[in-house]
Amino acid sequence: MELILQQMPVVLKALNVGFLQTLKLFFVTGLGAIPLGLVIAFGSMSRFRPLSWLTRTVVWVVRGTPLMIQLLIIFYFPGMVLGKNIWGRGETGRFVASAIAFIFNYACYFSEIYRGGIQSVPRGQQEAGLVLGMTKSQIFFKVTLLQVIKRIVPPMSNEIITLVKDTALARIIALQEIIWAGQSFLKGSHGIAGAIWPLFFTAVYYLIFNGIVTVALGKLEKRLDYFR
Amino acid sequence: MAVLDVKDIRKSFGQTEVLRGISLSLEQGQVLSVIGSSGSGKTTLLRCLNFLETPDAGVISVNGEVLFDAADPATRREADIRRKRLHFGLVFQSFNLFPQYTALENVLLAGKLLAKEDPGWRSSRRETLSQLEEQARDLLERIGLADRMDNYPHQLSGGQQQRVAIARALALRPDILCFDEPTSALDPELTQGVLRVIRSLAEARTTMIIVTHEMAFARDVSSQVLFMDGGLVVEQGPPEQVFGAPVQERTRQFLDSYRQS
Amino acid sequence: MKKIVAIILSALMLMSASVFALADEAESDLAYVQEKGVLVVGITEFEPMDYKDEDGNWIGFDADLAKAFAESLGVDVEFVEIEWDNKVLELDAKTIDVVWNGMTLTDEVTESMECSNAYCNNAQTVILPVDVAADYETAEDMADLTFAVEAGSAGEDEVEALGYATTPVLTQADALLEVSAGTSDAAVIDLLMAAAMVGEGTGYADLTNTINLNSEEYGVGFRKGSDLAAALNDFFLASYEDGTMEEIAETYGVQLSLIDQTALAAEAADGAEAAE
Repeated sequence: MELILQQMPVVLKALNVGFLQTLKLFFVTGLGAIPLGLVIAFGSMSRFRPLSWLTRTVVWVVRGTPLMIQLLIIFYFPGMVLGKNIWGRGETGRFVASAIAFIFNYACYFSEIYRGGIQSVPRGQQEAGLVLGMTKSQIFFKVTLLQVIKRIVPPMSNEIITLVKDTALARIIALQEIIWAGQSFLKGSHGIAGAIWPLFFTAVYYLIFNGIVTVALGKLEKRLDYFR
Repeated sequence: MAVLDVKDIRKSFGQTEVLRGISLSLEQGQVLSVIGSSGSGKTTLLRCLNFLETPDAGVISVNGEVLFDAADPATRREADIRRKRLHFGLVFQSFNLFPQYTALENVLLAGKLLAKEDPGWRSSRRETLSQLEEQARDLLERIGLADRMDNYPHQLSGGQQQRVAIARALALRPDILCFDEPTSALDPELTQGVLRVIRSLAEARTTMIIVTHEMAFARDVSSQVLFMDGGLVVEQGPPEQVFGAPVQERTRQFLDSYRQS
Repeated sequence: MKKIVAIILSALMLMSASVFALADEAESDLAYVQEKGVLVVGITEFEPMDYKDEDGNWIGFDADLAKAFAESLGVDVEFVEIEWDNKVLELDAKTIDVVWNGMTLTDEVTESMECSNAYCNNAQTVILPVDVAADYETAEDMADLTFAVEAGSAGEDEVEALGYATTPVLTQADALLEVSAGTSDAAVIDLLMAAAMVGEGTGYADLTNTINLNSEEYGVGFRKGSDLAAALNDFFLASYEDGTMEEIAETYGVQLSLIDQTALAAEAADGAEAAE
């Protein structure tokens, strides 16, 4: 116990650095995947058959394979084929590759949620808009969208909480997020070796952050309670 | 000249021919009630008039202008259809109010969006908005919902929701206001309020087409009644004739079945 | 899980191998590195070879040697932490230029990478809890034990050669954790690492190293066919002869494990002559 207290400042500093990377990946993924998911959802609902077919196939592949494999392929495959590293040196390259893999993967999951949400809005809503002389895009943004958002907040909350934890997968291409930082004290780092507690302690970070995310999404859900 | 002139409208869904050649015309200030059993094509007719369905054949003219002619591709352009729809208003059986907006906002929304397309929108923004809002408030007062303007649809009864939907359709000042079984989704005690509103519109000489199962109401309020069966117009005429002395055997059968129930 | 990853990665490598067959193999890796001006060194944190000091700078016997090598080539050095299982992948994808991390020269390693001469001796040593260590004096005594080993490591090969049960884990440190937590009976890790990580005054005071299963050598790995391996051999010889290698080794307490580069070079020269 005394040893842990002694190690605490060094460990926390390292974990904070790792967690910053975790947060960066989380927010970048969210910012990228939430709009991209909408684009993919429209693609898969397109009345132009080849487009919807292609989009659905891509979504099927991305959802049907582990994110871990996607990370490995995205990061390593280009260099093998092109003979040069397209990701840039150092951790930035690993971060960019991780972000792309995560955004794409999560956009595909989100797109299915969006699709379900959009299709669950009664057809009468769209018809009422049409009859009132509204354009398709006016109907989408002024009528449908908020109803879709209300419907998708609960399933999106689940995905977002999963995303917080999934960021740990990026360690497979050596992105130094918080799990990596915690594990480094096992092998020896910052003069501390063979310490398992920092790895266990990373759970506290996830727990607190997911707590905040849950409260925030709960608030959003409440705010949309004013209509049915 | 007739406000609305419909010639030989046909519409099939797959193998099923739902409208098999419907023609009708309507004068300014007239109320046309369309009756018939379910599946006779009444609702499809209204949806064709509002361009929610595209007829396979036929012509639709309003105030002498051909809005739709199945034989003339120029009248079928997607981009123009939106403007053409504004000649008609449609009140749905299931109201279809926008749940995230208050009663007032529901009435205002489409008018606001149209006003924004106006070239002078930027300069006269404030006046236009207050004008629109005043008009919307007037409408809601007229239908007896002055005190519910800021309520959301789920806070209103079915009858109140349908009255808001009527105000929403009226706000765009359509040439012809269509009702698709406006009271079918309502409890009997809520029906009266809606019928009262429609009756007052008739008295104010609003041109209307009403698809309905309320026979007594139709007889009372209409200037013309049209009985449809199997996608065809079986009988058409003043209410006294259609209800009082129907010529066709099929009409008689249909009306008898109502009297019995 | 690990096996699935391995299978898919090998499929991936197969795919890329066919692409490579078309690529220009003759290109000089040394020229490539000098042109971009930086040698990217793939490492894992591994005391005393590569690890971070309190300021977060990379130090260690390997790290310091790598810095000196890069300097001799006239390029900067950059250390990148990698997932050890992906080291060949990282080389092939050109996300790193060299694996320099106390790497045991096994057949698997020399086949998949262009390796330098050996520069440091090592052994695979058995780690046991202190209180039972006395009961196991020979490898035969350990037949009933389950060994935690780093997946794909030299230690795993040694235990499998004995035919004993293994539990593959991600890192050598995890293997120690297994023994400490009692989830495995024993672990097999590098002797050089054991010296730094188990016994009195370390995080694993309850563990000790017992017998060595083999003796082996560390080398440095480059991309297959790379001319950097030859350049490093020249550098090893030069720095061994002028004493810099010994000096760096003393800083990290591994001087006794150094391999005589002069003798190696002479041997190689003899071999070349004999071949002629």
